[in-house]
Amino acid sequence: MRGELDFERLVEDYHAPLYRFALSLTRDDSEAADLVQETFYIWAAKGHQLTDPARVKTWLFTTLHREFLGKRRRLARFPHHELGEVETELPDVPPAPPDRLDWAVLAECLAKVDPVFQAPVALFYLEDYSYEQIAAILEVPLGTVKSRISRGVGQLQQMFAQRARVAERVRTDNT
Amino acid sequence: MNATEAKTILLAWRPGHGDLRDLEVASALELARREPVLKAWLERHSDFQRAVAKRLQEIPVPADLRARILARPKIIAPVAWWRKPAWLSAAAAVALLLGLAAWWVRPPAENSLSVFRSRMVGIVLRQYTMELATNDLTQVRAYLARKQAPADFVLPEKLERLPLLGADVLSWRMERVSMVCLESPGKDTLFLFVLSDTSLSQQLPSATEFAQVNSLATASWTHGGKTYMLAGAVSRAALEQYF
Repeated sequence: MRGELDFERLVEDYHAPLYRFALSLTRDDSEAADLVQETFYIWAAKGHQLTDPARVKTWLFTTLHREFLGKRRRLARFPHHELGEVETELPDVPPAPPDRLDWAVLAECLAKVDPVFQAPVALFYLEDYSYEQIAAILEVPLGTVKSRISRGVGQLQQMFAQRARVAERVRTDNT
Repeated sequence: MNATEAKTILLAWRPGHGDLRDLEVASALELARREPVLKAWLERHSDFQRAVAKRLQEIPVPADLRARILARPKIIAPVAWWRKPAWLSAAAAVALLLGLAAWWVRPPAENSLSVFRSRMVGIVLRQYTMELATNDLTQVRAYLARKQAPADFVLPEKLERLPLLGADVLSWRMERVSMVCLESPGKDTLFLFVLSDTSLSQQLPSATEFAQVNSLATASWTHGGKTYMLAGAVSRAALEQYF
């Protein structure tokens, strides 16, 4: 994984998934693009330290996430949740997804999910990563990843359920 | 495991994904197969998971993002000589011998600020290495000091506020030159070169001197026995704001 050609190949292969991950975290086009550029910039300067080519993708996602955290300065405040704490946030019935899920709606709901759950939830949906891989990328224990995904998805479903209730109420009031 | 515990576990499950290898997930799915209420919940939950995943995976990527990444100044990470192919080492040795020969017979190069400026800009416009990537000024100073390059530089206040990207050490007529990379508010990389004053023959101007060198705007000044040169693919006005 050396040299300019390899760098171009890396950019070709990974700029899109990295951008989608960045946008899921920031919900801002330009900030997401900046994060991706920054990630490749760091790769160009430090990537040679990585000896296992199989870990490049994980390295890029980890680096992007670190950059995001660094910019938000939230790292020290992230709490650790165990799976047992999740039950109180469970929605009774999962909301029915709309026929055409609008990104603006999804982004709005994602924004309301607890920030500590956003990265694991985004990776969970975006990439075909195992829990172990997500844990490695986010540099947190496996149990923490599972609980964060579970709670994040639970919160996301609550947002959608709430939107559906409001839409239903408006529809009822209009008829 | 009861239905509530199973739901908690299945919230973190993706239909069609290898999460089945996870024993907890497998047990929760098994329970859902046996309990009708949980089964109905799981079907609806699976629809939700598929819809969200599909929408996130369809996020359009800016068409020019790839080009923007590749358009940034090229940085090639240093590769240890023992990792380079043998033929490359041999070619480098030949080039070195030719270079030495040329050095012995060439006329002495002008030891002026303008030549220094051109040389440094040339390095940036071709390919350069940045051995240290950090935003920590203390680390940059320690690295430069370790490499015996000017480390105790003093920057104009506005320039000092810019985020750091990293540093490397270059050489100029047997002298070490500190190269510090900064990021402008417009996300352009600015290159700061610091050189000992004694390395240049000419009397240096006391005021900041602006000059366009190839496609880069430069600003040069002296302070505390050192020569500074700031360069970037920005306008002269963009550099002037720092002084």
